[in-house]
Amino acid sequence: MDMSNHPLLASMDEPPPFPANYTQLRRLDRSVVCQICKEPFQAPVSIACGHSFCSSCIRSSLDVLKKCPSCNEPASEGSIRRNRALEEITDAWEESRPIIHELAQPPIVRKRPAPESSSKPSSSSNTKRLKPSSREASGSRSQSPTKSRTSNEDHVQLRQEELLDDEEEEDDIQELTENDEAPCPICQATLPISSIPMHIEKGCPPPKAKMNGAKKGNQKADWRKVFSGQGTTGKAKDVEMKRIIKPNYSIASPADLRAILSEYSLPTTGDKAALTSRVQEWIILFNSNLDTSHPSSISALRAKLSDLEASKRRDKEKGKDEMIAQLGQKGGLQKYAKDKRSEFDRLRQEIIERDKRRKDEEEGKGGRENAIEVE
Amino acid sequence: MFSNNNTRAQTSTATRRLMKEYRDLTADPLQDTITAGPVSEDNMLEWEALIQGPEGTPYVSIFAAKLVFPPDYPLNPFTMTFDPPLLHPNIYPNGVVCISILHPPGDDPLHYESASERWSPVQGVRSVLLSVLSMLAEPNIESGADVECCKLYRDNKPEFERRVREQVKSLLGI
Repeated sequence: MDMSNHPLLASMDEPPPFPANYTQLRRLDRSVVCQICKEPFQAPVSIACGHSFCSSCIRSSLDVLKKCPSCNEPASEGSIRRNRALEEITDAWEESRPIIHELAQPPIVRKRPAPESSSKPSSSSNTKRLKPSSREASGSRSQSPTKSRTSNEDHVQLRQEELLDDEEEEDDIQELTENDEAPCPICQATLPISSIPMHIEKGCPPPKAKMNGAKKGNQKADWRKVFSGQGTTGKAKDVEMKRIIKPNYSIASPADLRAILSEYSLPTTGDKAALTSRVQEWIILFNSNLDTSHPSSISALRAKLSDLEASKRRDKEKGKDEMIAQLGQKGGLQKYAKDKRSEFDRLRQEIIERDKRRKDEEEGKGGRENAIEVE
Repeated sequence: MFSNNNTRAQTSTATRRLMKEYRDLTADPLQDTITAGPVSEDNMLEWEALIQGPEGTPYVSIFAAKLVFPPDYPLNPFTMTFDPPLLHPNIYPNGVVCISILHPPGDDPLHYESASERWSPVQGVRSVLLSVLSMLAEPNIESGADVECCKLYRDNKPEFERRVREQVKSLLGI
């Protein structure tokens, strides 16, 4: 049964795995992954035992149990330290992964596009070279028009043919280095060649070249905020970029929680349980945002929090829908009644007993009043 | 970085993590004896697993089990229910599997199990299903779920095996 084409998997914005014969690359790929969310580290931190996780993952995990999820050593939030090297490694790997992934594919004709000296490069040669994601997605080599092989035994031969091809075409094709720029085959934005696969995988965000500068500026601004403790520009209310200290949820009143939420301009609706979970989520989001060298803005964090709440609500409702659908099925109601029979019986028993007790109480009322008086 | 954050926020942590696990299970299947996957496309929080009983045990058939995940998965473990229920010392008569790795985090008050055998967010469907497979091969009567079945297993193993075989037969309709 081939499940690799399952619609669920197709909907994931996931880079494809490395071919099975590259066990080292698969290992490398796994090693930059947080063991809690199973995704590449975001704002990685280490705890006392030396294990590393995403900042938000370990913070939520420690809220449930004060132990390292990997080795069970006692751990506390105070032992969380930023792991800058790991962040750098993860970023670098994420950036180079598409390139290495392409190199690790079974060989196909890799034609370099003509250099971009002319104002309009021929689009056909570019698409062939610069469309790694579509080729990876289809998982076959049928896109190469002249050769389509299906088995891996042909590697060697293919390589030779490839070499031959390269020689034949050397006259009219010039090699581009990775620093050269070329238009993205999808959105036509001009980007360095090396970053195009990643750019496509991310769904063609606007060119990054300028973003680098902007990011730097942001970072500077953020630091200034940290040191001066006040807003940079004419913003009315700026939030202090300082770690939030957790309140004691069991003794905090709803008003205390609302005060924390309104300090960060967050919604203050809901009962204490809703407020508590909102504050908890916010503290995790906010504090883990301080563990990365590319932090999100406060408004982005706010949006994330509301997304989180919405997705949780959706999950809850899904379960409800399912139960209703099950009840609607043929025999669903009987099945539900059968499943819950013991519960029904228990409830019925409780009601009978309660009624009996009340009756007894009423009957013995006079006697008891006397007893109290005696006391 | 920003686009990455946004796509991550659209689905809940639990759903994303389960998608990931499902993907890994399909890319790198768990032997030939276990398959698992979500029941429907739009609810990742409910899976079905098919488990083939290990060799050398009376469980000679393929058994279906339902996995139900909490919204805060993987902070808390999922529940696993054999449907129809299976006669086994570590399976409640209603089919719910009782093994230490599926118990909520924290130390159990009776100190039956060390915390290292308990659920933690680094565990997943794969590690639990492997534990279930070894549980089928070697019941743990120290902390049983079905007390009657535990007694039977301890005192009269041949009879226990006979009953399991009988149950398997009736499940298969022979």
